[in-house]
Amino acid sequence: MKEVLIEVSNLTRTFHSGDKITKALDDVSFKLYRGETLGVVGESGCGKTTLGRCLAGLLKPDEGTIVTKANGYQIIFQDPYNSVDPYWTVESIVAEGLKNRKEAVGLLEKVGLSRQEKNSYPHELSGGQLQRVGIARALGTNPDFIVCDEPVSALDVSYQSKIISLLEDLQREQNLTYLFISHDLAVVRHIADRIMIMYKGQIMEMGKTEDIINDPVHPYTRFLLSAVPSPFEEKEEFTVRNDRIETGGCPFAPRCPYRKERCLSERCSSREIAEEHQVACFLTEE
Amino acid sequence: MSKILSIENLNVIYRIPEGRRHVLRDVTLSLEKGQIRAVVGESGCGKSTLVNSLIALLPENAVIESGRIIIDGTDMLGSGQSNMRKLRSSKLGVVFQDPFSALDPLYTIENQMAETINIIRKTNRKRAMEKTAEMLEACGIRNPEEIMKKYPHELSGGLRQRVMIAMALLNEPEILVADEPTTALDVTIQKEILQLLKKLAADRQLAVLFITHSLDVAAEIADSISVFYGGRVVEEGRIRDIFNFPLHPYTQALLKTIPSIKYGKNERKLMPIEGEMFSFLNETSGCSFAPRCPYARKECFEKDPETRMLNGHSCACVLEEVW
Repeated sequence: MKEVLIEVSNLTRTFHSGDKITKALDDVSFKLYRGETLGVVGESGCGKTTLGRCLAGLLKPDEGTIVTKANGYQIIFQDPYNSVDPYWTVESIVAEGLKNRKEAVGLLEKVGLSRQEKNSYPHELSGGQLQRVGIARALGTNPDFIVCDEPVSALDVSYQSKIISLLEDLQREQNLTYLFISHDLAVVRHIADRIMIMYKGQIMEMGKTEDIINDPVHPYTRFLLSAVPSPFEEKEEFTVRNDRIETGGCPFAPRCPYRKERCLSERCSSREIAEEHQVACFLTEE
Repeated sequence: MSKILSIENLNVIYRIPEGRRHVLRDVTLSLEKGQIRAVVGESGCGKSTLVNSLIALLPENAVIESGRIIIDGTDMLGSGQSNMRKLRSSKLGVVFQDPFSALDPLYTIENQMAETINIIRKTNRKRAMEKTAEMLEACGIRNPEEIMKKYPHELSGGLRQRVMIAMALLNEPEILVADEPTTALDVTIQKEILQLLKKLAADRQLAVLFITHSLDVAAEIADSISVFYGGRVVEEGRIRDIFNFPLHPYTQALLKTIPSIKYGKNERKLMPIEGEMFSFLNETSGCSFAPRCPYARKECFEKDPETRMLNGHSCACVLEEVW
């Protein structure tokens, strides 16, 4: 039986800029199980980073609840250079959150940095090494839940796989739970047990990685998957509309080729179409 | 097919306080009309230096030591400064990675595009506006008149990149150099831009040099690939050959290290490339990839690898095994 580690209900968060109100999270509900990796995928502005920040406690949601059994939570950021203090040594960066400073060296070794590197300053390290520092810092408080916000997007490909493997190894050793935010579906496919597809602050589809990649149901998921470059594969051609109309219902409705009138006026709630596979689309009623 | 661009044995040196650094080593590649060639490599492999040499935007401490850049039969490096400018501006268009910093935030789209036309052609404003609208439309913008009145910040990333491409094509160049044009964009927008570039290459016989760090993106758009590592073209060939029969140990390692949408958790282990990325700051002799190469032998560290060619597929590696 899977143990629910975090239960998120009706999470809403808006941002105001002048007269413009943006709903970054719009009634988002889901469960996270202990020991799993949940991939959160969507394009810029879909709310995935806001979701991560709410779960890491860096942002307060306007409405909704997060019920957690986790003993501590941490976050790893996208840009390793901008998430550390350039005037601190690597050891100090990791030690800041620790009761016992000596533990820092052990943590650095655990993430694959050598003893010599502990006295380095951030500019002396490569992006891949610095991301290891970010991971060591996150592990310092012994969290059982870590938000990984695009942890490999800023890295060169030859470092990406090392960081991904490190995250996988740590998960196995410490039974960590990850919320893995990424715009790169190939990376998410590789690491995640389940995938959540977001668009404009709402969850469009969620399910096991295999189901989402092989049998996507929501038109937005199909559209997104059709755009992923994958060499020499026959892919579904998915053409969308580009209508400039207001929608009070599904956020994807203005672009959806299967749009019906009710899609623009009524919000479709998530329906379970198979085990662990939820889709927010009226098409599933037919 | 006729050759429109040919780079032969290009060597570029940077002078830094510690000495001279050899950033491009004997780079050779060519481009035919209507062909899309991808240049693939990680940060610091020399791909930006290649672009900057082509458009003569090398920093002051860089010198082209030897080699030729032949555009449509004329050696660009051999002709004088003003000739070179003329040649470049009429034959070559460039699209940069970040459309927002490449566009002037204080000019409307029509004003910056008209400026481009006027520098070269000196037409009247009415004609320039017509040309601008025509080119925006060719780049898939359905309401060019409306877009022309806007400022860059009012456009989305995808639209800005279309404007950049339209701008690069205003003087009807025969070569388009696209430097990571989709890296800053979402996948769905990326796909639109890739399709646009393919269409332009086919319809206008435009030759495209497409710089990218992603092999998958390269496979999506290009006919041929040049793989760069440490300032050298380590492997070059048709796209399918590179993917199905990679020869150079670096290309092989690269293909095994990138996650693929085809394989899920536990279906495939990513093989990391050991060692640190090549850096021009610590110069070594021999093959640039040797320190990370699982097959490296003594000779790899001693002499520069020779480029050998078989059936239009070339590789710079001394090892017999790779063939």
